[in-house]
Amino acid sequence: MGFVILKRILIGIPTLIGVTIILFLTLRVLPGDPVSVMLAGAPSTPEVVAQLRLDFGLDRPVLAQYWDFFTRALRLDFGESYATRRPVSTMIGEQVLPTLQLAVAAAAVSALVGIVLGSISAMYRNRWVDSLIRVVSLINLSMPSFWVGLMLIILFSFTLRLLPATGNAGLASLVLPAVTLGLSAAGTVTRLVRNSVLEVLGENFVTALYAKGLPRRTVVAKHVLRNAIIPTVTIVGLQLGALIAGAVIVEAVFARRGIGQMLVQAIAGQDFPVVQGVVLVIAVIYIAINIVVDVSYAYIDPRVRDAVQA
Amino acid sequence: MTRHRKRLKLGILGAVTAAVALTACSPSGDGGGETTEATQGGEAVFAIDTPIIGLDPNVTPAAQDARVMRQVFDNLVAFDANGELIPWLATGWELSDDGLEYTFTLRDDVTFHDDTPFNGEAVCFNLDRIKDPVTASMYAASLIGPYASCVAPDETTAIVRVAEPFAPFMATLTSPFLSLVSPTAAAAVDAADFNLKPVGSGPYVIESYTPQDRVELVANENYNWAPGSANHQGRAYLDRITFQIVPDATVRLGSLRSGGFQAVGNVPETEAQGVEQDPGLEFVAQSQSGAPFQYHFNSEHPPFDDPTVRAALRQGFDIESAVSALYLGVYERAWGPLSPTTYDYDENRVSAFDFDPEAAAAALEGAGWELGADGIREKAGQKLSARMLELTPNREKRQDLAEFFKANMKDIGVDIQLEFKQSAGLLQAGQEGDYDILTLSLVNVDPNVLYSLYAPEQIPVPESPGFNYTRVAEPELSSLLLRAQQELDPATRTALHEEIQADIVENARSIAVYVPTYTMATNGIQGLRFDAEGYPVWYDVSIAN
Repeated sequence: MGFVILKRILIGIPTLIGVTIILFLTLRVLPGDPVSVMLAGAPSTPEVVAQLRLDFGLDRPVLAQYWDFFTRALRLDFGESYATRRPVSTMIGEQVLPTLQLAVAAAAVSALVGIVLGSISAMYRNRWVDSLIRVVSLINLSMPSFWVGLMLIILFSFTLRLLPATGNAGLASLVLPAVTLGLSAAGTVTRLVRNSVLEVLGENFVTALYAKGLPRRTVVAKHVLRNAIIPTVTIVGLQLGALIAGAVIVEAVFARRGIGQMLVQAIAGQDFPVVQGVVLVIAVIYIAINIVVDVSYAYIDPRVRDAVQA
Repeated sequence: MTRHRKRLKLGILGAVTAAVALTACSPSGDGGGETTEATQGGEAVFAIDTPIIGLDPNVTPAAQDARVMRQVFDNLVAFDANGELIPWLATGWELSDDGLEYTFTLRDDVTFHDDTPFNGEAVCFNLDRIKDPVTASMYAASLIGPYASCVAPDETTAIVRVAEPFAPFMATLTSPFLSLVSPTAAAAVDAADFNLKPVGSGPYVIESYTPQDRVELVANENYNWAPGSANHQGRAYLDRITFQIVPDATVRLGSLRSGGFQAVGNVPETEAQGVEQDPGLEFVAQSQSGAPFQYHFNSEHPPFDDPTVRAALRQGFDIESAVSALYLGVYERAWGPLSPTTYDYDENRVSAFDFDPEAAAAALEGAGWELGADGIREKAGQKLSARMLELTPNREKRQDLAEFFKANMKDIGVDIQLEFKQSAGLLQAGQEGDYDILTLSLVNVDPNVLYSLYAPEQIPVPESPGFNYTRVAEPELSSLLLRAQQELDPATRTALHEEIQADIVENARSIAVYVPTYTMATNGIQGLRFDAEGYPVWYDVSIAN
């Protein structure tokens, strides 16, 4: 078991180094000069330009800049933001938690909605309930999250006045963004759960359970779902990574803090250290989630656990 | 909607010799609604659309930052509603006969939020800090121009020397970017931390700033030094103002209507009418002083070195229709290189040319540009084509505007190659002069913005940014610009500015399109004013009963 985790972590290291190289070079190859962008709003003096270049180490060769970035990143030091001149690690520290909260809450919404609807859909296969759920998931999949977010705000904040439209204070402000982001992912989970449940329902042991006289609800809830849930865990896990990246739009609609918003602004302003820091943090989270997903199989499915131990 | 475009001549600065004179707008909009007696107390949330970069006036360059800074800091002088320079933290000022030495007399009863007394040393500290390259001032340094040195012989005096006469100096001292920070607070912490939570002497104190989220301001209980342009004295009426960053316009306006916000910035043009008709809301539009949004011809690139060709393009552009169709009456159409609320704005430029595509085509024909088979004019095998860069396409529908221009140009046989770029790649092309038309608008409290736009020193080159996108370097115009920057007699300076505006328009160096305007909608507050640059002033704002 421990060996599996270690192996997964070791594989993650070259992936991360690859991310740093691609990231660093892409930013440098793009046209434009960060100091000019920073000064775009104002005429400046050559002395100021020179000072800024010196401050940010932009006067040094690219390779030296990369090595600097790499060795500092190992110590979680991503340098200073060009725009705010504050340490990037501090800035990420301020913003990463709201984004993680949002992504985790959204993944929970997506899993809950997907498992419940997917199971019902499978149980009533080809009946009107099934059709309705399938149509609704398809519609949901095709709706852009900024639109869904606005509709939820108009309904629950402006009309019913039940939940705050914007802000970062408390659980209440997390509900609408999490539902918006979660719904965007729920459609996929619903379809997946429906298919796996149907697959498991066709197996012999299920027929045996029915033969024992167990009611359908018990069969599905206790025996079928447990077997059907493995692919769902993979998808929800992978979705969590995508949800962190997808949080950008939802963060903008609900005026939430987060690394998504920070990244978008940093890209527009060519704030290299911030872009590097945020993308690296997202990459680490992604890789970590993948490891957790792999390991969690073992706990859900004894067969995987046995295979690993053997 | 309140719009004030009064232009008033103003007299001499203080009791002294030479001075700066100006004509300015009187942006004293009170929201236009019923006003009740101002009461103390209450809170307001102002939803803004753009994240804050920093709040240290000596360092930061951004307009959204100035909207917060205006509430937290004070200046030496201010403009009143008639465009006259009035005392603020300085009670008087004198300029030496050679125009090189300003002597400021200062109030002795002012303290910063950290209880540091305001005095001559504080004034000198701010100016020196701006000039110090280590500060890396992104905007203030360009405003103080040829500032040389400052000494404080006693508590209530600051003597400021400039290396050469600099006429815009007093006017720019009213800018939020030249407002004053506490010297002890600025010296005590790291510059980056100070940029997050700077200390001023203004009516509001920064309680907290959460990046990407909000700035919380609380009233300064000790405040008792508002300038004469304010409608009351003593502490500000509101207990607390929250600047909340809300990027989505629909959410901003929805929350304003439902009472969650008391003010929102940047109302989309399409929503302006709805807001104006809503009896519960007030709509305010404040045009910015400085230079309007203009298309600048690169005069280094033939055929745009030829005034006839430039004027023909301008004549073929239906600016009136473009501006009214896109901005629905919220933005005003511009005529020359200065916005109407800038002093020394020359009204004679209005209607100085007309929209006449046939005349434009004839002018091009006359200059030897014959229509080709593909509908594009050509001369000696060369197509009449222009590479136009729009670097801020998402701002104020500038992309649509450029498409409108392109369609108009096609009608007169001119091919416009449009390139929309976000800020990154743009400056490179701009600095290398690799364009035929480049667009820009600039906020400035002084007509010296003309110098930034047309002086040869301001031609952008790699390593030295600048805003002279026309790349014009004609000795006669250059000399007018320099003289206007150094001329201390107000009347003479006005005449120089008028000559410059005439030159720009007559030679069609740039096409002025529209006047950038900051729009706000408010709900349940009263007493909002704007400073001379067009930034909202919250000091007199109170809850409307």
